[in-house]
Amino acid sequence: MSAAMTAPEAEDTVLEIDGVSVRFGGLVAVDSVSLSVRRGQIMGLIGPNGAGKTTLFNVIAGFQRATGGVVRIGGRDISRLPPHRRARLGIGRTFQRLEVFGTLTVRENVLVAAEARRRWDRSANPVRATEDLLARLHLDDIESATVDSLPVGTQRLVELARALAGAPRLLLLDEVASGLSTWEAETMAGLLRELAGSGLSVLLVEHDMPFVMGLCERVSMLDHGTIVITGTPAEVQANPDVQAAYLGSREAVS
Amino acid sequence: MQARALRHSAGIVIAAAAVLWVVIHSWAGAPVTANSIGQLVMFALPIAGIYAVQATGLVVVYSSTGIFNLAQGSIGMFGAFIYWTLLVQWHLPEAVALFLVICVFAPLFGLLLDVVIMRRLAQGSLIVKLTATLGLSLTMLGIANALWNPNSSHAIPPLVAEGGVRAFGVLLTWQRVITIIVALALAVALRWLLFRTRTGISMRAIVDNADLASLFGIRHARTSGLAWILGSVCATVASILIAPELGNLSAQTLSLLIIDSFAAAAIGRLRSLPLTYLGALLLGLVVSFSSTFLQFGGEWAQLPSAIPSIALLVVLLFLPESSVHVGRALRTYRMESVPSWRTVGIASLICLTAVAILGPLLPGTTMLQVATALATGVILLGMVPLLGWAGLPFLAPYGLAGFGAWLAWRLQPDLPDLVSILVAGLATAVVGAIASIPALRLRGLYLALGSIAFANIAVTIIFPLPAMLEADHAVAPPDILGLNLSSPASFVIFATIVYLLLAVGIVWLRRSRFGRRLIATRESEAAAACVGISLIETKAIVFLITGFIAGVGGALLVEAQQFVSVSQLPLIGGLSILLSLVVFGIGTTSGPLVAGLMAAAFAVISSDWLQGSWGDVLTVVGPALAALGMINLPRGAVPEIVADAKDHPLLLGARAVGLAAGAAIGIACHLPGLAGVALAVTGTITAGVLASLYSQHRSHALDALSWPDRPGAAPAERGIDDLGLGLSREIDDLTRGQLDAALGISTMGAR
Repeated sequence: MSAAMTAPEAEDTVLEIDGVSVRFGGLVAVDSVSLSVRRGQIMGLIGPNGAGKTTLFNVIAGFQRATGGVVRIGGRDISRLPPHRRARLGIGRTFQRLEVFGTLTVRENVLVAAEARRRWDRSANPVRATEDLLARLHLDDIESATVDSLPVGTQRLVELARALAGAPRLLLLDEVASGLSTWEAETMAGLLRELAGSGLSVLLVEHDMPFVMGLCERVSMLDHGTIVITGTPAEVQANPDVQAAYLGSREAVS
Repeated sequence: MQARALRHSAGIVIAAAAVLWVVIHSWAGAPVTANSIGQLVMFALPIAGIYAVQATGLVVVYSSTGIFNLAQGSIGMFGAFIYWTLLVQWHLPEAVALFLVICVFAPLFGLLLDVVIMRRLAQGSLIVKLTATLGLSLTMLGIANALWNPNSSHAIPPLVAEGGVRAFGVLLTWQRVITIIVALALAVALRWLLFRTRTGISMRAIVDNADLASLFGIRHARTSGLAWILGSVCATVASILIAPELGNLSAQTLSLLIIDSFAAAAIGRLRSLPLTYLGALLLGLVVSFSSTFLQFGGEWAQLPSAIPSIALLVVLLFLPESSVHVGRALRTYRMESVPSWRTVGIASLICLTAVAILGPLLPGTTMLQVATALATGVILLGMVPLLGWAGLPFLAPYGLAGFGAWLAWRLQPDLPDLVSILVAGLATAVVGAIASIPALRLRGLYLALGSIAFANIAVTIIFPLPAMLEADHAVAPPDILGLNLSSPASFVIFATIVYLLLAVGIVWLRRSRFGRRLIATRESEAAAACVGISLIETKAIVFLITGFIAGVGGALLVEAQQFVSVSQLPLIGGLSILLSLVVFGIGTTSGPLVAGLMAAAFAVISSDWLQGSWGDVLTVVGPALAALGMINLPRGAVPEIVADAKDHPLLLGARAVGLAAGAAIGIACHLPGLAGVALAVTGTITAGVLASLYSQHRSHALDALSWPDRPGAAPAERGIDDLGLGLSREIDDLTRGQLDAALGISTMGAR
């Protein structure tokens, strides 16, 4: 399945992380990590808690300055840009702990993002883009509900719609399936495949292994701030280090 | 990163050049010798000691409870006055008086504050926390003025009457020696407490991560109680140490003294005690340097008293940029209902009709008060986008309005009045943008501190400049489009129109694209940045808007009162009207008007009805007490009254009783009309606060269950969401079906 999903322009690298490190005092949270995501590719990032996944996300989105290394979007070095400038270059993201505009309505949440897009894309039509997205994510029935009043799963969909409203090239999803029911997760996975098919690149951090393995074309495993392995889901699952990290140490298993 | 380093060095060079310029221009000519430097240090150390003790209190309370205690100065002031009562009035021995104040009163008072007020604020938003401590400060100020008549003398003798240590040709009095020793002893004691005792280690754990600490069973109540006790003791000790130096005790001076310690706490990043001590030492050296070697003559004579405030602004400029905060802002505002155009239209018509009909009927003095109220209302209207919508705690309304006031007077001879009002607004917008510079980069609390420093600088050195408002000036009644507005009734109509136009303007703003952007920025800075919104640009624009409206308000204020004076723009008064705004609805367009009317009503009461110090008491205590009640009215009184009337008949009943009682007393005592109204309003608010305190007491058990992420969960929501799952309505089959449909999930066969 992963081979069938490979995007046609295989050489078109959207995100390139080159030797990125983050140190907090003596602690090395991310240790010269390199990875790249191609156009239309869904890439998974797995690893135990504290492996540095969210830190890496924060480095890509601009919330955390790397102490070394380079982040490129479409070949352009964005390592020193603030978050909103990176968003304008096509990075959209959702948050592990929901970050919604709680007192605004579902529609306003998406509209704010669509309107912000007009800053770098004059051709955008915020109202139409919002309506399309709401319909696509089946949020149109509840568009005038205040987001704070919605269940967590629905709030995640609002966050996703808001991230998509900027028409990003790269979508960073931080545990987007957590708090979703199996059925909601299925819906989400279907939507992401569809979006990837139309050229969107996705990098996602996820603990839900079936979700990651079923969805991603390639998976990287991060542990203690370094990449242990990058490969197809099958390769990663077969890797003894991955099994050790998820099932306990090899000694304990055998 | 290089660009940042470059900006940083450029900033340092500019600041250093400015300091050098000031030093060269104000050099008093004293020779720099080992002796004079020794004197400088000797003067600096006691000052640093006071700053250190004060700032330590601020830092300890802030770092373990998350509340920045703007009442720290007032707590110390209270302690100093009680010490005076015990020592001078009751003739107790010094040691006994000291013991009673420092070891009995201060700890008990700190604990009382924690239990009664502060613990309930733990989950509140920054603005609510600041408002509550500000309200406390003003309440204590008012009570102190009532108990200890400010017109009679209250002087505390030094702890040791005479003598001292002689060095470098000057005498360091025992009082100052004791100050230095106390500061050092406090440092040692805190070091021991925080690193060697179980409670102290718990306090540090809470600073690092409150959630994690609570998982490990650290009892927050105990540490926050201890923090408030320490804070209260620090405040009292510092106050008693400094009081003899100031001569006669002044409640206001002692309360405002805390502003001087902000810079030391800011250097400690509000966290680190060693850095706070370093900051206090630096600040002491700067102050001492200016008094030893510099001489500020003429128009800058007042500069030395503002040095700590200037130092704070400089520190804020150089504090490292805070990274964008990930983690949702605490929800304390429920959605402000944006008024429909129909509501706005009807309300505007009613206001206009009312002033047009009542204007000629009411006496001129009353209309003058109404005009002042409207002008104050306009100033506060400017604060609505900033505090209410963007959630930025800027606490200097008069600091901005003063520029508009000055320009309105200054431009009057040269420009038509309407144009000069507009120019005043535009120029103040620029001042607002400049005042926002520290705020653009830093977290909200630093903005609050910076804005208080800004207000202090404006009132003490900028407004009194000869080029500005050194002397009071008469302002001619304005001519607008050929109409002379010299009668208060006609001016009130004009001011009403201005208020309504600006109110319509900001309602339009709130409904616009920019309004959504503002709310989004307030709700989550991280998410706003991630959709491409520039936080700095958004904040700068809202400061421009606020500056414009406040400037117009300042212009209206002086034209309403037909004179301009620094006394129209008091620091405390600015804080007091802000409290009123927070009380009546910080995110509404009606709140500013009601707050303005309230301030005018209090002014009437204090001048017409109550003589002497009680008048001042009411002016500050009214809004302050109400602000403390804000813990229960997060959106402000106007919207809450409407919503609560439905949910809490008890509250409505209490308010009605309060209103009736106030009005009855007013009529029985033959009060002048406006004073009677004010009394009735006071009765209403007091009854409401009491009732809500009562009902909050009852619902407190439920609060403990609410989910930490959702402290603002409305009382009405609690019924169906007792476990704090974030549910806003009952999940029945219908809702479930709707949600499934919304998520695109067809109903499964299994169900």
